[in-house]
Amino acid sequence: MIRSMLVAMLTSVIISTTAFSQTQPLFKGSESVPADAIILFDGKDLSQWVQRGSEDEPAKWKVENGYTIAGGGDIWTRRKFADCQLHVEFWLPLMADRSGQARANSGVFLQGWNYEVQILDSYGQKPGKGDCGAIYNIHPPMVNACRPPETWQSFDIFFHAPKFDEKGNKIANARMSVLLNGVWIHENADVPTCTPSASMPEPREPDRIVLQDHGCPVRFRNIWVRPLQ
Amino acid sequence: MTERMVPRMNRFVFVIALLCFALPALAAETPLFKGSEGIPADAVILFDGKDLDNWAYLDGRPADWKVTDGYMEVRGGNIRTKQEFGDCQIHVEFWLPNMDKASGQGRANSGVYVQGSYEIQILDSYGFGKESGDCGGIYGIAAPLVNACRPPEHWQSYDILFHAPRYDDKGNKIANARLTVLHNGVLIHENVELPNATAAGIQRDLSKPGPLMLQDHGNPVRFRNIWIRPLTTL
Repeated sequence: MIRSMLVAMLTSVIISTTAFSQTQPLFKGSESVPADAIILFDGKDLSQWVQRGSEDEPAKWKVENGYTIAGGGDIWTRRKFADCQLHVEFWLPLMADRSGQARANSGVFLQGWNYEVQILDSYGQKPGKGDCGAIYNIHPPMVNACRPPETWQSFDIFFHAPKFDEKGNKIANARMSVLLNGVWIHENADVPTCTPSASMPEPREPDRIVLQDHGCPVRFRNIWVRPLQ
Repeated sequence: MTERMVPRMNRFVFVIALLCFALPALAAETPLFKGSEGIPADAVILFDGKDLDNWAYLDGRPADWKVTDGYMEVRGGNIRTKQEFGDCQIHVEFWLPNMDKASGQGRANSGVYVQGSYEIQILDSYGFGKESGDCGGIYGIAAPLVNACRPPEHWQSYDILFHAPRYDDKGNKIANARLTVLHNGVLIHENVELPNATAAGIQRDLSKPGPLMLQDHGNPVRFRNIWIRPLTTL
């Protein structure tokens, strides 16, 4: 009798805890970052980041005035992610004496150094597969939604990792939807290969988010991620 | 070939050809943003907080919802845009009164109907509920992935990406409508197929563009900052 009462109590506690976690509000008021997000950079420190290729080498990028500046090599997150919603804000320097891929180049890579959304000063250009917002070398953005350099911009990225069956055969390509500055630039885009090279092996496990140092002093702020599912 | 050798007519044709190629290219490169403004230049602004010139009641009378302090508040029935749209991106902000004596569908109910047909539910579902009848639900068809509500008396937003259904020449449907929705910036629907219109739609022919409709469900819900980017014409 006591045991069955205990079981019943325990069960009800488990059920109510589960119900609570499902209905816990994502927002308390007008804040912009939902409560289920992991904050990767809040403007104060790079404790969530290390140098790309390392497990533990502190990120070398400078942090000042609530942003971080690319410099000292690529950085990646300590934590690993697969399907996720990622918010990133970036600011491009005006490099008026440069053109093409030399003009405020950087990038955001998902699930390791594998799937890049390009960052570049493409303001006013007809966008190609290497321009700002492109899924690098695969899909140009649907529209050029860039702001001018020296203006904060945002990516909202919805990423789905490629899926593999038990034998390791790929059964679904990676997919991405992206908003640049609130404008839809990719919708459920099929990403059949890694973006640095089509011959790279695709990731089978969750992996890190990478920010690229391409030798241009690009700034980042307000970075958060919500794992999906 | 020197310029003198180009016959006058050919030069004329050349200039026309150049214009034909150059003008669309120029148009494609017109920036959507000049600086930090929130609304892209290719958007049609449906409500900027000042007047309801772009809206009408369903019987065609000019919309007469209360407009004050940069928002509109439901009054006298549903309203629809005069302009009609097919595939589009829509931004809508809404504000729900605190109706803590009411519950369920009686609690700050309203809705946004895309193409006059597909309702994204508006309701005070703060802290509970994520069924298709709750806030963010595609009414009766798809529940939101998560409950991303803010408390009542806070401004909230929907960012909607819509594809209208497609029909062949004989009127047979060949592709369902599709919706992706962010609620307060959080993904709540991703490329969801809609096999049919939701209840209380007004569009008879879904092969044609339709209006955006805002529902008056008898609760004093407010709206502001509504814009739409037409993506393709039907």
